[in-house]
Amino acid sequence: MHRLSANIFYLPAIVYLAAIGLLPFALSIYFSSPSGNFSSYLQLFRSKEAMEVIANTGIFAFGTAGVATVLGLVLAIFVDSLKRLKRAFSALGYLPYMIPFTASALVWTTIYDPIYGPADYFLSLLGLSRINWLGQPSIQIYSATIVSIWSSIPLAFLLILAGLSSVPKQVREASAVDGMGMGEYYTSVALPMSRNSILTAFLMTLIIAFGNFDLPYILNGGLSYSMATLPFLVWFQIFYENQVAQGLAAAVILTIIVSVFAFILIRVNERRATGSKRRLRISFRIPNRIFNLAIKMVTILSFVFMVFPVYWMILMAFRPQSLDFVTPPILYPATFDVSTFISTAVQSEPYVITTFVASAITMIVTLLLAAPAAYSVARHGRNWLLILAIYLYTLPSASFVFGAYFIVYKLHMLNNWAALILTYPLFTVPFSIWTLSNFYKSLPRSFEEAALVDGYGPFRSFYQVVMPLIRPGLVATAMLSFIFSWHLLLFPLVLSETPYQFNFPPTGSFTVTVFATLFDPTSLGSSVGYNVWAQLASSGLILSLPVILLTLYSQEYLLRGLYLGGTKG
Amino acid sequence: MSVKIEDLSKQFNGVHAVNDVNLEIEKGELFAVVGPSGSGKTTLLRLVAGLEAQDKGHIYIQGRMVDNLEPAQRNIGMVFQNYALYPNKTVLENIASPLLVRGARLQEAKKDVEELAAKLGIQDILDRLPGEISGGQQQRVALARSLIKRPLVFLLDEPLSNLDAQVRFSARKFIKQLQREFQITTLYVTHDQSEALAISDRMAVMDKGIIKQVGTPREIYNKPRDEFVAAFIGSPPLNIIDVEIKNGIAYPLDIPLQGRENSVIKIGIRPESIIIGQGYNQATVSELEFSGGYSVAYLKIADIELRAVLSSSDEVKVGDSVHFAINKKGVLFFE
Ligand SMILES: Nc1ncnc2c1ncn2[C@@H]1O[C@H](COP(=O)(O)OP(=O)(O)O)[C@@H](O)[C@H]1O
Ligand SMILES: [Mg+2]
Repeated sequence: MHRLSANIFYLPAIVYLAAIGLLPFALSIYFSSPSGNFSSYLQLFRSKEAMEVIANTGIFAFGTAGVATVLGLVLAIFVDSLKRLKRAFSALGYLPYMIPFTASALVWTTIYDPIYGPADYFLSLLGLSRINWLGQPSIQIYSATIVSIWSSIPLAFLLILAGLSSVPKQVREASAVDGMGMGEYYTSVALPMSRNSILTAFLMTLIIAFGNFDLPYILNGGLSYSMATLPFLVWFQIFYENQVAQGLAAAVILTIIVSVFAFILIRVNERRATGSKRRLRISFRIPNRIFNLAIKMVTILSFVFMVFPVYWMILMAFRPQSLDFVTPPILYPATFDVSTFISTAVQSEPYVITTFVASAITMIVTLLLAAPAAYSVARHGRNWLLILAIYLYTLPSASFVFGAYFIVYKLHMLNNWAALILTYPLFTVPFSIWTLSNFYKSLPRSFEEAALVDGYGPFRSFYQVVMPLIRPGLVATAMLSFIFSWHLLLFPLVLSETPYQFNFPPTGSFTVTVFATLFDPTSLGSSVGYNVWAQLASSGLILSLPVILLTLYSQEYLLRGLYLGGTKG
Repeated sequence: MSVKIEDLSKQFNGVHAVNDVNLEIEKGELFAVVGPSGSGKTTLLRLVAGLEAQDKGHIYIQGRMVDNLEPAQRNIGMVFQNYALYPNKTVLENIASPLLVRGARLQEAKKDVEELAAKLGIQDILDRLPGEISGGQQQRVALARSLIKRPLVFLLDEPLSNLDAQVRFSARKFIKQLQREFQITTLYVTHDQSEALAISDRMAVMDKGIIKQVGTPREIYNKPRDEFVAAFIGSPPLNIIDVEIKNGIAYPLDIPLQGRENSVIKIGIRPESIIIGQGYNQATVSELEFSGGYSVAYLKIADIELRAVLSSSDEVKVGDSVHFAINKKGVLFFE
């Protein structure tokens, strides 16, 4: 193929990623120390609060990744060992995945409520004393970590389950003929064979937790350092305290930390592609009975942990406020009242319109940029582009937020749909390149070779032969892009000032994630001064519904996309 | 009787994979099951192994009914089509794994493994991983893994299909010798009829879940019970043609044939029973295929075409007119 036409495939994507990814990134680095004396960094390292935030970030990220990977592993073993009902239990396993971080955090603020919250109620049932989960500085970060674990188990579960299910059926049967029980099969065969998936699950949940702005932002109503992690600090310094250089110094430090793990992830991903031969010895042996029992117990507890908040959200959304503020909390459906949900849905209209438009256009732009770029990764050997994509994908939104704000500001696009549409693909294009390149790689080359022999040129062959064949991949990528855009909080928060005004050309670009935070009395810009859990739960549900519907509707596609790319949610 | 299969049936979504199968396999015998792909051979093997549960019927191993036993309790060894070695374990650990699972320590098992490995000629690769050895070696490791626990029955599913054509011959002989040395009752599944003929003491021909015929390779080859078996066994494949009985002759061929005058019947003729250069049949050579030690000629006579095996000394060309005789041992009649 001509060099020129091979380059044209990825040119649009690379131009976009350079302008909206690398440039903001460079701006962040530059403005973190505009005079070149690194005083902002020194100041940061001298501040006790900043050190506390860095420590918190470590607790939050490693706590999330460690526990979510272990629990995800147990759930994956449980589901993998089932003969029937695999699908039903998988759906339970990824339930929290369908709830955007923003909605999760909001629901958890009610669960953690010191007076009416079910968390303390459960503690009292166990005979333990009450805890002020979100109020007591010494435990705040752990409370936030629990929510993060809750949100992250599904990704770990899905990635590890995919690894376990890729063990050939005959190997599994050979283990049965050899007389291996479940304990021996998993510890000595299936887990060692899936170790790249397990490692990927750990790294992905770790990287996402490092970059997670949404959860700590919403849970941290009092803006206290003892619950803050680095992404929160970045936002707080730049957009709240107007300490741009210091905020950017924090962003650069966060970026460096994440880069280390991104590097490992890229290496693991390469190994997953080529299949490493290095072996891992597992020398412990657990009696099968104990193994089975442990797996079942942990699975039951995990499922309760995972399902309860979703149940609680739905319960609150459809009942009158009066039932929320009683002790002990009412945990069963006593009435069914849709009035709050409907009034909240009506209120959400301008936010939903904005989010829908931004997500739908982002989805289309993403496919246009990523589909050809991923093709040149898979077929023209542009591996550096894959590495760049994975790297950009792992970087937290806090790494880019200031630069993106700067560009949008210079273009006079603040509080405008265009600002969202311009910046959202930064998050969706990289993972789409990653996912799609794997779809292309799984396609036999013989189709394109046949097209070439038949006289198709490179572009016609791509559009008329290859694209139709990877339709499942395109659908998965489109869905994931939409869901991903729908989730975003930090960017719309800083790039917007008002809800959509129903005018033309449209102004006002608050999204439905921002809408949901309005009902949290402790959140900035909240529209209420006291607890309104029914509205809060309703807005959380409105935020989650499109994701739930899309996920259920296109389960098969999404799971494939998720496994091939290893996507965050 | 080492293995007895009684009225065994298994359906998948309404398809009879195994349909009312009855078989008896003698102790120490190498019993082959042969049939086209999809005929239910693998399913039959998996039922015996306990990897699949039958809908109906019973399986006995050395007189004991094993219907409700787990695979590991049935005292069987199994070699899977793709060997199914544990990729993360060394050859030593792979072979030892059935012993380790039963609670042996690796040190104790090591001696047994080394002894067996020496017999199989894989003693030098014990600390490699399966990904680092050749297909033939992988197969020997898989054989060793299933032999190490001294099973009563040895189950092999298409053991040669993943090997290169060159190695296949020696591997076949190796398996036969191993089987004889260990005196182990073996159920050997293959789709390759020449493999089954070459290796087995007795064999069964299977089609659409049904056992068509059981016998020694010679019996099956010489006296196929029906058209399917006759057509399936033998290479090059049997000629099946319609002839008309005219004056005690199978027109258009010159073979004496008793039966109702002027009726059309179907007969089979083994390609190797056609002898060129003798007899009174007259045909034109329409095509020739060279196969090394022998050639196959296509003989056109009236509107039928016969495959015939030529020895390398026969000198014919396409277009030649030849005459030939038919050895009547190679003529098969079907009802
Ligand atoms: N697990 C299964 N699920 C559904 N159908 C199956 C399954 N295993 C085998 N079959 C069907 O049963 C029939 C026999 O298959 P198999 O035993 O694999 O044949 P063979 O080994 O002779 O090629 C085929 O029609 C096949 O499609
Ligand atoms: Mg088979």
